[in-house]
Amino acid sequence: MIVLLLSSGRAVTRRCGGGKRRFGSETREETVKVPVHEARETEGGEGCGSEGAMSDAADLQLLLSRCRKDPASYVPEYVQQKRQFDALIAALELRPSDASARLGELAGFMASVGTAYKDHSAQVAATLIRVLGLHAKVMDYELRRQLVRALAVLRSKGAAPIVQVVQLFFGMLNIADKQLRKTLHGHIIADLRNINKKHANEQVNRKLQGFLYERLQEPDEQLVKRSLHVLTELFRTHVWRDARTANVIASACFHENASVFLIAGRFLLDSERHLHEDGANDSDVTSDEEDYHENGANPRKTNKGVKFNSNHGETARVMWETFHRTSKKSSRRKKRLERQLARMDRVKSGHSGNDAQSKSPFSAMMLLNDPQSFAERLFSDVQNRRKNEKYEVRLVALDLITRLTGIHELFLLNLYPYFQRFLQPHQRDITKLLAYLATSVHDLVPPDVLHPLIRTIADNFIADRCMEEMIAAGLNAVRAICARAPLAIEIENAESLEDKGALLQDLVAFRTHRDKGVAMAARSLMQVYRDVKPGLLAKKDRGKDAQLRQMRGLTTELRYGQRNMVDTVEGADLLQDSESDLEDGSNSEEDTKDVPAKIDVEPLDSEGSGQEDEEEGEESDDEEESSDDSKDGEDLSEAEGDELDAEAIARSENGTEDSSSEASDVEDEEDVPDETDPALDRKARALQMLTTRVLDDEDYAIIARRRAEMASNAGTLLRKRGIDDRPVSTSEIESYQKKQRRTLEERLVSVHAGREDREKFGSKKGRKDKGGGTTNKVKQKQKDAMMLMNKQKHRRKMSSLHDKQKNAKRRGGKSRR
Amino acid sequence: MSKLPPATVRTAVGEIIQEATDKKRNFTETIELQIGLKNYDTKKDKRFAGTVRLPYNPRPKMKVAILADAATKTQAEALNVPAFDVEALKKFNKQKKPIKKFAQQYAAFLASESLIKTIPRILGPGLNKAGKFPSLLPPGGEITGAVEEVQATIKFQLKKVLCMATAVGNVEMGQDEVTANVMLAVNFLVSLLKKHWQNVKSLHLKSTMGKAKRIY
Repeated sequence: MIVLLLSSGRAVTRRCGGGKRRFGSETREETVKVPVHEARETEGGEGCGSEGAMSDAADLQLLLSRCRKDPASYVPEYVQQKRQFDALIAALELRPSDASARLGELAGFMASVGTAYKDHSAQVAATLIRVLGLHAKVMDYELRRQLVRALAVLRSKGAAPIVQVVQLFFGMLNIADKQLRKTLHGHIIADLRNINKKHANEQVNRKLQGFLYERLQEPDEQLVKRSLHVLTELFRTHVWRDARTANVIASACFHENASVFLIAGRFLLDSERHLHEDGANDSDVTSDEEDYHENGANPRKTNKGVKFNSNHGETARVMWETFHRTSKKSSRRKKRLERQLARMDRVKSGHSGNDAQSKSPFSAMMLLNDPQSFAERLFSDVQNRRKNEKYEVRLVALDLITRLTGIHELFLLNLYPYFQRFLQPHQRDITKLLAYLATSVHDLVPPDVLHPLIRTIADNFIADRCMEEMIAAGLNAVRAICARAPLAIEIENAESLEDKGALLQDLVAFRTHRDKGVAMAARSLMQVYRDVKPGLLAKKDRGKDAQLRQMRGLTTELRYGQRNMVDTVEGADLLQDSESDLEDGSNSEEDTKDVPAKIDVEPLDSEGSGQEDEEEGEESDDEEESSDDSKDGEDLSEAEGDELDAEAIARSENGTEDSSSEASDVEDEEDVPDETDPALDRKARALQMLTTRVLDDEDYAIIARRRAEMASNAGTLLRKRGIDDRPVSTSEIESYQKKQRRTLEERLVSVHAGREDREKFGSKKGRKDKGGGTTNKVKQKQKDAMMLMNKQKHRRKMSSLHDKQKNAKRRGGKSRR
Repeated sequence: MSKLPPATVRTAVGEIIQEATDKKRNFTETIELQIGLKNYDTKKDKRFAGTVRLPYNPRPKMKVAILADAATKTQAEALNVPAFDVEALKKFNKQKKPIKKFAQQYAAFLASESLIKTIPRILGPGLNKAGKFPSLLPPGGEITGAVEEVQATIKFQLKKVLCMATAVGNVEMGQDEVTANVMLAVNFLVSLLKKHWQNVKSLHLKSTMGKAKRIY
């Protein structure tokens, strides 16, 4: 092969004027020929035709492989090529739009072996960056691709400075060459991923992010859009998942071009949405699929069916095999298996890139530096600059603003009146708007700002004249708003609590509506207030639980600006109960107190222990005094679980007086705690325990169990903990809709669909049954008589003399018998 | 075996107080609890935030201002607590800078019930931006009690990074008091976490100028 190439090369070079060099041992010849060769190159290098170019390429390939094997012996050759390269670059700079195949090849050559000849190749990268930076737009497309590829190779060998290269590549993203852009996109991402692989390379990142921040302000729409795509991908793949990147992307929301805004806005929204969808419902297949489409990270699972591969591990393999061996293959089972495998995938992917994943689990929206001014600016854009943009654009903007307001608890008081004019049943995408509105509400929004909105929704949506779906949507929207800001529905100037809840009572009255969706929506609204402020509901709607709580004075007055502050761990008092159960002591209080004390006393210093003991002594004295009461308290807690105890009723009746007196005279509420109140005593003991000992995982397990028991006894659901910053979805607003009877056309369509691949109806008689044959018995019975007769005849004829005799004998014998 | 034996906390606190007394500074050093979290997955876990009142006041010198109606204002001034009425607040005229300055002067705010609803309108988002939106002054409640409650209340809120720090005491408090505060704070924090101790990476105690002591 080599010989062939060499010979062909030689032949061609001779035809071209003998200027071409050959490699190998013929060093003498080379020295002679060099000047000639150089002369040819400086003349313009266009002496040879296409054949010559081909041979050049082949020669260069050969030289490349040899340089790789033994770089030291080919220094002069390399220098030679380098000189040619420099000359061609100089020519290119004079006439940038000229195509030069030779230059592209040489650049590739320089990039591949350049690191071996560091003394001579210092300027290659810088030259390429300079040339591309100046002339990339007008260059021949093939040459441009070759130069970019060469630069990328240099980058991967560390022979080019990353900051300049990435800046250059970002700058070239607006060139009208799709394939080139794809290469650039890939290179930027791969490059940044590599340098941040082990640990974040802060110096480079900071420089580049600063550069990009300016980049995104430029008016060139194409450039900004493509840069944004790169940036968002870097964020999603955890390469640049930090506050700076998030803020750079967010700054593009204010670009004058709406499509740029859409990219940035949707990115912010999506990053948040995915967090919720992932965790929210594993049972929801569609959301899973969306995930995969978005991430593109899971090639294993397709829409068509589940696929299993060895990455899933042993458990998955067992699942997979059992599914195929034993279980009936209904589509439901199959879907379930798919979901389980997908979940395993997700867990796996979460663990695999542990470094990347642990970098920052926060969404871009959480990472914004100044959400308040960001939202304000965005909102003023919607009202002014983007006033005449398409409706969809403004919807995205509103989605973003409301989500920010909800998550960061911003004050954007103009937002609510702005929504008011959209709240009409026939408004386009009204359920979306209602969902956005509800998302933007948080408990610090002043109720007097929200009340007009609720009033508007009530007037426009929730009236007998409206369609059922509208009433349901309105009620659901009110429910979503009030769950976040329960005070918004109160009528400000009313005197009594019942009057304040007049609007609420009107809305709740829909719970007996004949449409199921409406009734459900009204009931869920009622449920919200049963939990947070039952006083606003009509007496009959308050429910047993709420009424009981109110009678005992356990409900706390809900006020604006009041933060739910606690001074104990939720459920710690339950732990005491279980401890006393375990120890089975007659004097349970003493026992529970001893446990922490024992732990505590041992390591004490001399002074400290004295102090502590004194304190504890006092505490226990107090307790002994009120031990009767605390016992009662435990009874009470048990009664809570069951139905009403007689004792509990008696107590709660006492409580009613208390609570009514408190309601009238609120000032006393938080004053001196009642010494004899058992609940308070329990609390004090819980606090005592919490300050002396740290709860284990076991303790938390006990608490969880006790709470679950209590809840199941009382027949109520456990309430969820944590801040609910989940955005309100449109499905929450739409809620349940009764299935309508289908029209004739729709029914016909489904009838025809059902007929496909179906056997004809009719008698099964005469049709062949599938599967299994007839039994031998049946066959014997059904056999044709003529055939049997023939068989007998034949047998008689063909049988041997011996057989005949034997048969005759048998027959004779039989007859004799 | 307890995850965090009280003895470790106690000795760490003792050391910190000892170091602080050995090398006195010109101010009272605060002791803070620093928490590092792990395995925290925003996809699964909700963001958490919680406030808890510690049994002993860790920051007695914290400046708290009261935004109040006239009656409460005179009451507060008698107690030497800085107080502002609506007129004083309206003078800011919603300008961002003066409000920001005002917010910086105090560590926390309390507002009486009649006033608190109007604060978003009068002051704009300035206070909220600084994370100092006033809490409600319980109607008719005594002012010193409310101020103390604010001082003793600490807040756990996860923002942007997986670590937090809160004040749990100062070096002039007794060893037992600080220990009790630390225990309650840790208990409360861990109860907020979804996987409880499995979410806790590290716990440190540190005084303002001292060294950090790892306790978990």
